[in-house]
Order: sequence, then structure tokens, then C-alpha cells
Amino acid sequence: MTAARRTPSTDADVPIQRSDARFLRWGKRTLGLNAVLALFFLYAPILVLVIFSFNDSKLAARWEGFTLRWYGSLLQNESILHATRNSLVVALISTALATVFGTMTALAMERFRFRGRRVYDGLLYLPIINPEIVTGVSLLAFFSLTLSALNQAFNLSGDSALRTGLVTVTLTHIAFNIAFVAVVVRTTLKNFRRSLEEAAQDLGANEWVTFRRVTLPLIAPGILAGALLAFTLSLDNFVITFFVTGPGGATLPIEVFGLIRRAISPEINAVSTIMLTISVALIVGSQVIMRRRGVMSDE
Amino acid sequence: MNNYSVELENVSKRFGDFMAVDAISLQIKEGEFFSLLGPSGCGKTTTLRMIAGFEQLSQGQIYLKGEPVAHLPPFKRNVNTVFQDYALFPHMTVDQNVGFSLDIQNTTKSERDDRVERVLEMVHLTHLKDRRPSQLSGGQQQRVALARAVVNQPDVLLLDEPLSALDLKLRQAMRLELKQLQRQLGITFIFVTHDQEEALFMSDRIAVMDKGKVAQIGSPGEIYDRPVNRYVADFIGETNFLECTVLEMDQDAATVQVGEQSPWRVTCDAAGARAGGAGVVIVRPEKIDIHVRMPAETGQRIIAAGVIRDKVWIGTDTHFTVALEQGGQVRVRHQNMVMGDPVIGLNTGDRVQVSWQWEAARLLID
Ligand SMILES: Nc1ncnc2c1ncn2[C@@H]1O[C@H](COP(=O)(O)OP(=O)(O)OP(=O)(O)O)[C@@H](O)[C@H]1O
Ligand SMILES: [Mg+2]
Repeated sequence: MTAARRTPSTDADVPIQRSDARFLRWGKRTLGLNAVLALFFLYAPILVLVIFSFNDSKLAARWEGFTLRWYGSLLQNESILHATRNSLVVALISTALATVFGTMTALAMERFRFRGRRVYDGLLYLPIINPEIVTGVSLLAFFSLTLSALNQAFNLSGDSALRTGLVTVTLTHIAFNIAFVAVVVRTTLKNFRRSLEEAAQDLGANEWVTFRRVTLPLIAPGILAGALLAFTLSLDNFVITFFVTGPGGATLPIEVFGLIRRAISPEINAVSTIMLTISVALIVGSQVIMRRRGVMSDE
Repeated sequence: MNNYSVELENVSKRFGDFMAVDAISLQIKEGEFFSLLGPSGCGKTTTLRMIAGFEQLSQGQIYLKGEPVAHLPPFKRNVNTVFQDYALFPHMTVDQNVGFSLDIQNTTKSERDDRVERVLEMVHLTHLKDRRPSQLSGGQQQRVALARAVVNQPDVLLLDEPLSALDLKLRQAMRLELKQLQRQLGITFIFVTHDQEEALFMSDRIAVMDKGKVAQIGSPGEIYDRPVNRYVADFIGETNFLECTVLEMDQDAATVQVGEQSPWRVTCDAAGARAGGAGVVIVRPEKIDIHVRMPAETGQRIIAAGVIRDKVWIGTDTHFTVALEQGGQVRVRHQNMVMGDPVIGLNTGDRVQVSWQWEAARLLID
């Protein structure tokens, strides 16, 4: 081949050699195929799940026709309704509190130099990288210790004794969500121009007015993104919740897991489809908000 | 009490071991256009930020209208800033940006709108008041920043290289506009720049800064014609330096010798000058005349012989570099005024005479 025999040249203007071009084309195709496969593995199971939630058959394996009856029967399923309510309560409360504390944490980390800031920084990321099972086990140990101590101290026993349940689940979700919110908000703060706050103060705004009129509106997309992430994580969380929940405190994922252990029912497909829809809606919503904000801001 | 608009008294700022601003004292009058001029890193921005209140003083005191303010936060100082990057609020329209300082006070709606309207008119931006900063050109953003900073009538306006982001044409137009605006408003301007031309053009007075210190304060004319040291002479405009020996000192003048030739008379007010010492003579290139042959009438002029080393023709002027017989060389800026001027016909290698009025040369000691 003439192209292959051509002496190597450092001249940038030499056109790409033919063998290189072929390699590039080959590489492009492989990568393209890879993307298709990846998408297939990611989405095929979800697609199957959604399709079979409308399947008019008790058996998961065969398509028997379209129906909405599984969605209807969900509305009659007391335990699923209860778990859904639990999930929503936990998600709402933990998101609200974690968003406030997480944002405050992020502001403190970005704005103030205090002793032990580095260490605190590292510790903040721990809930994110810590294996969920470890978090779960340690929280369980922590709660049983605390609760038994409290029970002893206040002489509580039997029905009035404190035990794990929805409250411990909520506390736990607040805790790990703070970390996630803080990380997301910090990213936003990193791109925030300090001179904007200085400009506000320069024009007579005190710290609070500056925060309310300049900082908050500008980091709001980040806070919202953090909140939506927190909400989704709380709705989805299984492993940690599994450890710290108790009687009457089952969230939807826990409930679904329980159902599956008994029998695979198309109701589960229906619940999952609903959860999926909510999650996707939240994420798309946050993206839209961020996008619209983006148009307004400088970038 | 005094009646200065801004006074800096022995102000220093230390970052770690590094003295960014080193014992600066300045007195800026009401309504003055005052420039801080110096190369990058000499502490101009730091000084400005201390006046605005963004930076704590390491030492010294700042007075605004005679009141000490070093302990006050920025929002309690009646001083506004035009930031180098403009720092316009991206989530607000031009109107909201400009009205910000009024919106956070208890200004009535009609007065607020009135004042915003007036400053927007002043900077010719009325038609853009509903745009956001991202939809404006650099020059327009600059005007918004200016309007926002003057709308609440501060006592002092601080400007940190506000023109540096603009292209040359716009920069030159804005110089004039800024100057007019300042006259119109009567506000004290403290203007930071590293562009000596800009400072000379706009300022009533200039403080030339060098490594955190003030090298010289004076009107543009004083700084240009009577620089106090080699640093200032070199930083402002173009200058010829000729090493010399001081022969004799008298009131405001000295006699010096460059090389072995006959002595020159030069002006001098340098404190350290004494007979027998070394010094440097400075002469601006435009003050030097070049002659094809020995001029007949010399009067009070100093004359020196030399050889042309280099010649550059730039339309309005011709620049010569002349090596003097007695040592050293000078740049000469000759205006191309007369058609058929024999000087323009001179070439590299030609022997010439150069001359200047004796007062144009100045002795510096450093
Ligand atoms: N926060 C800071 N911490 C440490 N050093 C600083 C800080 N701010 C400024 N400096 C240093 O102080 C010196 C003066 O900085 P300053 O910004 O005042 O310079 P400048 O004259 O405005 O320069 P330029 O023309 O480049 O804007 C510089 O050497 C700079 O590195
Ligand atoms: Mg600067």
C-alpha cells in the first residue's frame, strides 16, 4: 500500500493516512454499536417491566392483551397504599430538611475557612461513598443502642417502648440526603462569581439582602436539583431503609421486596412503572428548570 | 476634621508575608478625578478594595468625608464600585440591575423609576432596559455597571480598570464619556488603570504606584514633566536616560557632564543631588530637535553631535535613534510638518546635531 509506505512526517498538513482512516471508521462503528448495546441492556428490562404492567395475565411470561386492572387493584391493596404514603412522607420531610441543612452546609464549606474544614469536607462525602450495607448496619446498631437507652431511662416497655420505624427511617434519609444536597449545591457555588455578592453589598445590601436577592436566586437551580435528587434517592432507597425500618414503617421499595418474596405479581410491575414515571418526571422537571435558568444566566 | 472626600492614612495590606500595599497615604479632594496608575500586581485593586470595604486593612485608617471607616462593612460606606468584570446580576434586567440600590432602600416607586430613567438616559441605554446582561455587548454592560453604581448618588465612585475589556475605539470614546459623566455628576472618581495614556488623559491627579508604594502623586503634567525618579519617568511615556556626573548644583538647576564633552545645564529638584555624585539625565524624545548641520542660532539650547543609528517613519512623525559622540544614545521624535524637510531625508549613518531647550532635560538621582 502506498499510504502505509509513505515516510512518517511531522507536518500537520499531511492528510490522515488511509489505514488510519479505516481504523477511525472501524472505531466509530464499534463505539456506535457499543452505545446501542449499552442502551439495550439498560432499557430493555425497564421496557419489559412497563409493557408487562399492562399485561392481562397473571403470569409474567406471556402477553395476553392490554389491561389496566393491575393499576386498579393497586388502589385496593391496603399494604401498598400504606407503604406509598410512608414513602411520600419520608421523602417529603427528608427532602425539605436535607435541602435546608445541605444548602447551609455547602455555603459554610464554600464561604468560611474554619478549623477542621478539610476533615469535615472528607467526612461529608463519606455517606456517599460508604457502602450502603455498612451504613445500614451501623445505623441499626446506633438506633437500637439509643432507643434501648431511652427506653430504660424513661422506663418504657411493651407498646409504649420506642422502636425503629418511620421516624428512624426519616432521620436516616435526612442524614444521607444532606450529603447529596451539599455536594450538588457546592458545585453550583463553585461556579458562582463572588463579585456578584460584593456588588450587592457595595450597593448597600446587607448580608441577608444579598443572600436573598442575589445568592439564592442564582444558586436556586442547584438547590432545586439537589432537592429533586434527594427526593428521588429517598423514594428509591432500599438497603439502608431495610435496616432502620420497623413495624408499620415499610416504604414502597421494602413493600415491593416483600411482595416479590411471596410471588411475582403484575401489581409489582404496575407499582414499579408508577415509581419509574415519577422519578423520570422529577429528573426531566429539574433539567427543564435548570435549562430555563441557564438561558437567563450569563453562560 | 478635614474636607477631603477620601483620605488614606498610612494604609497597608499584608497577605501572609507579602506586602501588597505598603503604607500608602493619599488625600483625594471632593469631585476630583483621581487615578491609581501602576503595572500589574502593584496593589491598585487591593487599595481600591480596602476603600470599598472588601478587604480589611492590616494597618492605617481610611476616612470618607473625614469619618474613619476602616471598621465599616461595604454596605455602610457611601462608596460604589464599577467592577472590572462589571459583576452585573445575570438574573435581573438592566432596569432591575440599575435600580438595585434603590429597590433595597425605601425609595418610592415613582422616585425609583425616575432616577433609573435619568441615569439610563445619561448612559444612552433607555431602549435596552428590559434586556438581561447576557443580551448586551461589552460596552453596553459597562454602561449598565456605571449607571448602577451612580444611581444612588454615592460620594465616591471606584472604578477598577473599567475600560480594559473594551476594544480600542470604544475605549477611546468611553474615556471622553467617563470624564464628561464625572463632571456632570460631580462625584469623586478613583480610577484604577495600568494604562498611562488613559490616566494622563482623564485624571485631575495621578498616584503612580510601585510595588505597593506610592512613587509620585501629581497632576498629569507634573508627573510627565517632573517625574521624581527613574521608575516614574520610565513608566510614564517614553524617555531618554543618559548617565552623568553632577558637576555643580544651584537653585532648581544643575550642571552635569555626560562623557567627556562640555557640561550641560539641566533642571533639578532632586533631594539627593550633590556635586561630584552620579545621576541620570532624562529628556523626552519629542523635546529634542534634530539638525542636518550645526544650527546657527542656539540661544539657551543644549547641542550634542551624534550619528543616526536607526530611523522609523510612521506618517505623522519620524523616529530617530541617535548615538551621541559623548556616549549614550537618544531617541528623537521629529514631527513631519514641513514638506521637503531635509531631516526626513536623513538616513542611518548620517552625522547630525541634536538640541533641546536646557529646561527640557532633568537630573534624577536614584
Ligand atoms: N487575596 C490575596 N491573597 C494573597 N495575595 C494577594 C491577594 N490579593 C492580591 N494579592 C497580591 O497582592 C498584589 C497586588 O494585587 P492587586 O490585585 O492589588 O494588583 P493590581 O495592581 O490590581 O494588579 P492588576 O493590574 O494586575 O490588576 C499581587 O501581587 C497579588 O498577587
Ligand atoms: Mg487589579
